[in-house]
Amino acid sequence: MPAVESPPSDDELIRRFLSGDTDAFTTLVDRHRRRVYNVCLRLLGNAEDAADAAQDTFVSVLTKLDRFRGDAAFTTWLHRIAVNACYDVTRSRRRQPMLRLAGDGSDQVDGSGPAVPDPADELAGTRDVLAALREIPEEFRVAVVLADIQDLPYDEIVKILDVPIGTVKSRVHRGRVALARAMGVERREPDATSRASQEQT
Amino acid sequence: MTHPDDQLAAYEDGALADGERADLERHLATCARCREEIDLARAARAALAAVPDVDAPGTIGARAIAKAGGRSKTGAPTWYRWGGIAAGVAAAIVAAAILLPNVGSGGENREAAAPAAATDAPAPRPAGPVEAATTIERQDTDYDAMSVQELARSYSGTAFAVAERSPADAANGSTDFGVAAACLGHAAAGDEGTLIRLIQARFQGTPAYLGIYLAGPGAGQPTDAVRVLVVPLGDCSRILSSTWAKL
Repeated sequence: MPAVESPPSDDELIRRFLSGDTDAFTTLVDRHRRRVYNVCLRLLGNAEDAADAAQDTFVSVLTKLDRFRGDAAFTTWLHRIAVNACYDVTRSRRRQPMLRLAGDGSDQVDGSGPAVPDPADELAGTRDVLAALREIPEEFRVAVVLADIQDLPYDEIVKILDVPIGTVKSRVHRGRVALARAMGVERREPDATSRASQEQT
Repeated sequence: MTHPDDQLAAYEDGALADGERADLERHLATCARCREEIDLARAARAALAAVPDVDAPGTIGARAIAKAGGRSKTGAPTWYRWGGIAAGVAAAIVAAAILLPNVGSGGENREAAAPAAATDAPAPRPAGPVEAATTIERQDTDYDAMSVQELARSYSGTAFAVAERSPADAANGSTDFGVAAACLGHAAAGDEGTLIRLIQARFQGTPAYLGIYLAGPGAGQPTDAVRVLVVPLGDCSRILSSTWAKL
């Protein structure tokens, strides 16, 4: 039986492309298209902007590929370019405010509205997580999308965002809390307070 | 009181080392704010982990792939995989006019096409009379409404002159191409324009033909629009998607 050939690594595909094999670039795009699109979709919150940013990401990758040093993993570098492409799309949308009024209304029409606390579960009654994701500050959104949706380790997020590890962890925590609040998750304060005072006695 | 926000994330992940965890738990015993935040953050973390990955439109990356192919010195150009590049399309049409002068529309178009083949067409002129598509281009791409629109828009800025309508191929139901063209024509009820490209791919997972048509006021006038029509394979009565773009 012939040995099963393992697929070429990203670095190998880049090397092949830089020596003239255009199909290697196509393979690289095919391999990472879904990942890039999903990052952009969660950062930007709508399919049209995500497609634009993802398209820009790969063009940017192409033009910078000969400067890719291989110090970081290709996926780390790719995420960095994708996040920047998303920032660019966000900025260009801000310059045309009439095209996109606050939100698309989807979080208003889902009917759940702000959570009515469920006595059986103090964390129940959540609004759509994706609608909530659009409402939190951008730097928090980036942090939680990379950490909790893309499931990337903190040290990789450090390289993607180029900020210290403490800042990454702090943004992830603050982002989670902001998201939970935007989702309408509320922990009932009186319980928490009374429990705290009990613990202190 | 200062709060160790940077440690809370790792605590929520269950990833703090024993010593750090014990320190943090001492803080938590006296800090209702951090306890509350941990509960909120854990709820958000669980919700985020459940966010599903979605399929990416197959056209994403096509612009870069086209660029990569154009710049390479070896291998086949990759733009043929995706019709997005107007220059590529124009080149294909010129090639069709040169290589296939009598396919498609019978004798009367021969003379229209021949000069384009015999002389180097003057630069400012449009790409020359457009020949109808004659083959099925098979793509491993899953289109959706947005990528179909993108495909249509990719022709914007291209100058075409349409030869007379050329129904000959559509009428020829004996080839795969003829069957597909006839199917598209049936779905469009004869109002589709000139078929310049026929792609077999998928539309939202359904095997489909994508017909790309040039449309205009007719009578040899320059066309001003491109239409992309999508029908499922084997069902000529249903239109999955139809879109127009101005040239």
